[in-house]
Amino acid sequence: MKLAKLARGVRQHLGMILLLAALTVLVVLPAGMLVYASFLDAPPRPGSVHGNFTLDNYAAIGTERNFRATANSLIIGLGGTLFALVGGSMLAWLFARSNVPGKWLVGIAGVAPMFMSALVTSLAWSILASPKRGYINIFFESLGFDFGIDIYTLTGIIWVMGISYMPYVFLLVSSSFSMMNPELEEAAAMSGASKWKTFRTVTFPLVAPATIGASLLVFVLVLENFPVPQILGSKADVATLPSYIYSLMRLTPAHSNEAAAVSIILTVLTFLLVFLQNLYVRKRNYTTVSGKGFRPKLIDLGVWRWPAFIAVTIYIIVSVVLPFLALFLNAAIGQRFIASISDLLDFSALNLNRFVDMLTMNDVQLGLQNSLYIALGTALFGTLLYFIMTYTVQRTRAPGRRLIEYIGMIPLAVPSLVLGLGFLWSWFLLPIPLYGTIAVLVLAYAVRFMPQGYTGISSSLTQIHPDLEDSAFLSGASRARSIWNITLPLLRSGLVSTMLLIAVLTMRELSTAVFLFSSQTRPISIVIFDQWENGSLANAAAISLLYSLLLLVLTVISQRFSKSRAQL
Amino acid sequence: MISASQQSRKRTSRSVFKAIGTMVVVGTMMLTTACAADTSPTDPGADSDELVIEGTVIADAELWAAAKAEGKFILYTALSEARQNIILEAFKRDTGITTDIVRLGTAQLQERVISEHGSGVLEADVILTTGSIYADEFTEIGVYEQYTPVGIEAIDPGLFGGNGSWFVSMQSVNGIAYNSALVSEADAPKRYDDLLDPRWGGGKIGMSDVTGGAAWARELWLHDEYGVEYWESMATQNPIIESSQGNVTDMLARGEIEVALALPGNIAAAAADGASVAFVVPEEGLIAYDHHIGLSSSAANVNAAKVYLNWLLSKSGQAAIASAGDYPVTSDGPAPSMGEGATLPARDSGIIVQPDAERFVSFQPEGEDLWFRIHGLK
Repeated sequence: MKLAKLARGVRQHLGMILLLAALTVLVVLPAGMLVYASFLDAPPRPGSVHGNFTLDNYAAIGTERNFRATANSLIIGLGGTLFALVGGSMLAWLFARSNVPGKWLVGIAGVAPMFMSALVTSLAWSILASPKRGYINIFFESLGFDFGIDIYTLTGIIWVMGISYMPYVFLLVSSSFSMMNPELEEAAAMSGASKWKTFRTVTFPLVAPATIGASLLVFVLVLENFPVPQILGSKADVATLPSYIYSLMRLTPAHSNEAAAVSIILTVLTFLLVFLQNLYVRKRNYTTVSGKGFRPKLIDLGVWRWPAFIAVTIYIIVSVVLPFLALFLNAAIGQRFIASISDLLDFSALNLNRFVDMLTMNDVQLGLQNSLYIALGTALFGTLLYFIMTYTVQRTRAPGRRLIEYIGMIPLAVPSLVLGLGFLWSWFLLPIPLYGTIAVLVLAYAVRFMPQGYTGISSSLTQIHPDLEDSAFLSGASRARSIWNITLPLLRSGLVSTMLLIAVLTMRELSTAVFLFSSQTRPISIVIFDQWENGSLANAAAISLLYSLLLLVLTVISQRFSKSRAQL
Repeated sequence: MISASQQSRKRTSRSVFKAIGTMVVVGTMMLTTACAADTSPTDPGADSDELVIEGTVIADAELWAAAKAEGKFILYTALSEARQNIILEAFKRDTGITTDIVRLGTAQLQERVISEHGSGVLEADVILTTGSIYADEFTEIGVYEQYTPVGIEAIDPGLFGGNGSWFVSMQSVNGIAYNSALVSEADAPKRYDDLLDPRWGGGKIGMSDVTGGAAWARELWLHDEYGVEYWESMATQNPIIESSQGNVTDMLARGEIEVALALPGNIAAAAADGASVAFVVPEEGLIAYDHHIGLSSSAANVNAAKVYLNWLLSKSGQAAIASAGDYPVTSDGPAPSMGEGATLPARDSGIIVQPDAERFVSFQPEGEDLWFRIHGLK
C-alpha cells in the first residue's frame, strides 16, 4: 500500500525529481566541492588523499588585503552598477518608448558593447587611456592639453565595467518597457497626472522588477568580474575579490582551499541579495501581458529629440568606435612605441599583415570554431534547461520548486574561475567521460550563465498571465500542447533573446574555461588571453577584432530580434 | 484567436530557425576555413630507417617508425607560448611530427595535471614545468615515467633527477631591459642595484610578481645577494608590478615603463615585432632558472614523445632552444640568440648565476609571502 503510494508519488513528480537530479549534478556538486575544499588543508583532487579538516582557510578573510579587496569590489560594484543602470535604462526607454530619431542607432548603442568582451574592452582601454602613452592622452597632448587620463584607477575600472554591462540592463529593461500596457499610463494621464508623475507612479513600478533584477545581476557580475581588474587594476594595485582569489591560486603551491573560502563568503553575500530581491518581487503582481493585444504608446520628446540622438551618437563613439579603432591601430601599426600623434596618423605605416597572420594561424581558427560550437551548444541546451526551471518554479505547484530558484542563483555567486575549479574536481568524480570534450565546456557555461538565462526567461514569463495557458488546458489541450501553442509563442522574444544572450556571453567568457579546456577544445577567448599574457598585445588586439566581428554578427541578429519585438 | 496564435508560433519558429541557421552557417564557414588551411606535415625522415639529424642518431628504426605512425604528441607546458612554439616549429621541421600544446601558468598546470592524472584522463604525453619541487611531485604521484633520453650524457648529471624520470632541458635567464626610445644606451641601468637609483622611481620600473619560476629565481637571487633590503628599496621605487613577464614586455614596448626586469627571449621577440626595446646583460650576471621535462606515464603517443625528448638534447634541439632566446643545457650548446645575429654571452663566460637549488624550493612559500607583503600586495 505504502509502496504503491510512493510509486504514485514518484510518477507524479518524476519530472521534478529528474530536474533536481540534473541540477544537483550540474550546480550543487561543483559548488559543494568548493565548500568542502574550503574546510580542507589540501585540494579535493581525485585519486589523492583529501586532506584534513581545518578552519585556517577562513583566516585569509581576515587579512588586510582581503578587506581592501572587498572594499574595492563593493565600490566598483556600486559605481559600475549605477553607471550601467542609469545609462542602460535611459537607452532602453529611448529605444522602446520615445520617438527619438534613428531608433536603430539606439538599438545598436544598447547592445553593441556586448560584442566586445570585458577582456577585449579592458585591452582596448589600456591602449586608449594608459597614463603615459595612451592614444587619448597623445591626442590631447598634440592639442596642447595635458589631462593625464589614467584608466588604471578605481574610476577607470568603474568606467569599463559600466560600459561592459550596460547592455544587460538595456536588454532586460527594454523588453519590460515594450511589453507594458499603455492603458495604465493613459489612465494616469487622463486622471490629470503629469508626465513625470505618471512615470514615477505607473511606468517605473511596472519596470521595477526588470530594473531591480538587472541591477542585482550587474552588481554581482561586476563583483565577480576578473579580466577588468586583472588588466587595469594591477598597475595601481586596485585588487578586487576575484583578483585576490586569482593571486591566491597563483601562489606556490596554489592556495585553492583559501580561494574556495573567499568565494564562499562572496556566495553568502550574493544569496542575501537574491533573497531580498525575491522578497521584494513576491510582494507585488507584475503581470503586464494579458489576453489583450496592444502596443506601448511612444512619448514625444519634443525639442529633446535631436539632443538625445546626439548623446546616443557620442555614446556609441566612445563605447564602441574608439575601442575598436584603438585595437585596429595597435594591430595595424608596425611600431610598438607611439611617440606622438603623427605616429598614430601615419596611415602609410598601416598594414593588415597581422590580421592575415592571425586568421591563418591554426590556433586561432580552431579557437573560433570551438567557441562557435560551445556557444551554439550552450545557447540551445541552456535555454531549454532555463525554460524548464522557470516554468516549474512559476507555473507548477511541485514541491521543492523554490529550491530550484535558489539552485539557479548559486552560479551567480561563485566566481567563474573558481566555478571552473569546482567543475574540474566534481566531473572527475562522475562516471561520465565528458572531461576534455566540448560537452563539458557547454555544461560548465550553461551553469555559469544559469542566473542570466533564468532571470531573462523568468522576467518574461512573469509578464504572461497563466490564464491564457490555463484556458487552453481547460478547453481540453494537454499541458504540453498548451505550453507549445500558447506560452512558448508569447515567450518567443524572451526565449530567443535569452538564447542569443547566452550565445554571446559564452563567446565572451574566459575564466570558466581555464581549468576545463584541452588542446583540442581551447576557445578563442583563451587564445587571446594567452597572446596578451605572452606579451603580444598587438596579436591579442588583432584576434580581438576578428572575434568581436563574429560577436557583432551575433549581436546584429539579436538586434534584429529586438527590433521585430518592438514592432509587435 | 487560434489563428493569431498559430501565426505567431510560425513566426517564432521561423525566427528561431533563422538565428540557429545563421549560427550554423557561420560555424560551418569557420570549419571549412580551418580545414582548408591544414597542411600535411612533411616527412623528411621517410627514406631512412633511423632518425639521424646532423650526424646524431635521435631514434632507432623501431622507435622512429612507431613515432612516425603516431605523427603527433601532446605537450603540457609552462613555457611561454611564443618561445615554446619556436622550439616546436624546429622539431616539426626536423621530424614532421606535430604537437598539440596546453599552455598554463606553473601553478595552474600543476593543478590540472594532478587532477587529470588522479582520474585517469591525463592526455599529456610530455610535461614541461618550472621548478624541481613540481617535477618531484609529478615523480612522486606517478605522473612522470622513467625514461633516459638519448644524449643524456651530454648534460650535467645534476640536471637529471627524480630517479631518472625528469631532466632539465633548458635554462631561461633574467636580466634588465629598457625602452630605447625613452632611455639612451648610456643612461640605461647596467646593474641590478642601478635600478634602486631614485631616477627610476615613481612607476618607471616594471617587473612581474614573484609567482612562477622565472620571477622567483630572480627575486631569490637578489634577496640572497643584497639582503632583504633590496626588496625593501625596490618597493620604495613604486614599480609597476604585472602578473606575467609578457605584460611587462608589452608595457615596456609601449613606453608605459622605461626599464624592466625582463627575459631576453621576450625582449628579442618584441624587438623583432617592431618594438624599440633593448636588453642589458647586468654586470652581476644573468639569473637562471631551470625547465624540467619528463615523459607522462599515461602517454598515448609515447614514441613521438620519446623522439621529442631525445631530439631536445640533440644539437638541433639545443640550437632551437638557443634560437628561442634560452640557454641550452648541453656543454657545447650555442649561446641564445637575441635576433639579427646578436647573441647572449656563451655559457662558459661565467655570466650565468643561479640561486641555491635547495633554497629555491624550501624558501619559496615563505619568501613569496614576504615579497608580497613588502610590495604592499598582501
